[in-house]
Amino acid sequence: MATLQKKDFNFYQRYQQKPAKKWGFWPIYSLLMVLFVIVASGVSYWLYTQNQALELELNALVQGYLENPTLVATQSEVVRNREQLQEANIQVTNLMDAFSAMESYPRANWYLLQQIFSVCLA
Amino acid sequence: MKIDLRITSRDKIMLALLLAVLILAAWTNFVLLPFLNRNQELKDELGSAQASVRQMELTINSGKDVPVQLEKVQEKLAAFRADLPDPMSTDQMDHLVTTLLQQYGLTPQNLILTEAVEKPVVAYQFSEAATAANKGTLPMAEVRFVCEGSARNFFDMLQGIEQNHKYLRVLHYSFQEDLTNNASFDPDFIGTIQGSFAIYMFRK
Repeated sequence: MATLQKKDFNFYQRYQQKPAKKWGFWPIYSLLMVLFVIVASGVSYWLYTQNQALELELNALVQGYLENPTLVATQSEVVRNREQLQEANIQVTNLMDAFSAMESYPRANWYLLQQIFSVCLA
Repeated sequence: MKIDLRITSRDKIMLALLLAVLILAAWTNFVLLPFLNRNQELKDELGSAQASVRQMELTINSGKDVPVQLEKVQEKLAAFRADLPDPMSTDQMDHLVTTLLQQYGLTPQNLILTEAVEKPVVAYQFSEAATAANKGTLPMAEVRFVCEGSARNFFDMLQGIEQNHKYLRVLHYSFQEDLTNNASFDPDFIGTIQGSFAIYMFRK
């Protein structure tokens, strides 16, 4: 009968030894969750502050320019003046063309009569 | 058959991973995406507002000399305006032509007036203005007249019209005398004169 004898390599002895300590699931999980909470909070806060800054900038622009009564009134006046100018320019051009056409005719005066007679009597 | 309801450590790990995924999804859906969307909306609104502000500044800055230009153009317009009468009724045209004829010693006998109609002013066909691409339009009425008087008075009237009434244009005229066979035309001979005027008016 064979007896158990100590040999160079023994599975039982190996089994009895404490395994090397490893990280378990829960510590890694907890660490990852904590990291996630930190990163998510950071990103959320950063976006929130970005949005706040954009809103402030937008409000400053709107109130400082687009809803500023003085600037709005000035702009309206300029636009009104431009429209009036455009309309007046059209009228002037029309009148210039009309007067140019009216004045293109030879005038029926004494000079014309003399010319007619000189041609008729020649 | 008996079901084993005990939660094993593997189940716990699976539940923990599920919880983590749910938390990530909830954060993305309820925090991250709304913030990102709002951020994009605000950027778009800001871009639009900045463009409006630039446009406003450009309009205001470029409009500083508009009142001066407007004043100059209105002065030009007033100068033209001074040469044209307001739109006239047929009664007013009747009064105008009758007074004009009488002013130069001509006796009006008959007037035919037409209502003023806005139409392009046609240039003299042999003039440079006839080749112009744009034609000015003005309200125009035609007055045909028959009057009695001398050619001298009539031509004096034409001279007066040329100097003082630029809005009147003689379209045609004729004397009852036959000028072709009468070399000794007497400008003081009293005869019947027919003709027509165009009266141009200002368009309001």
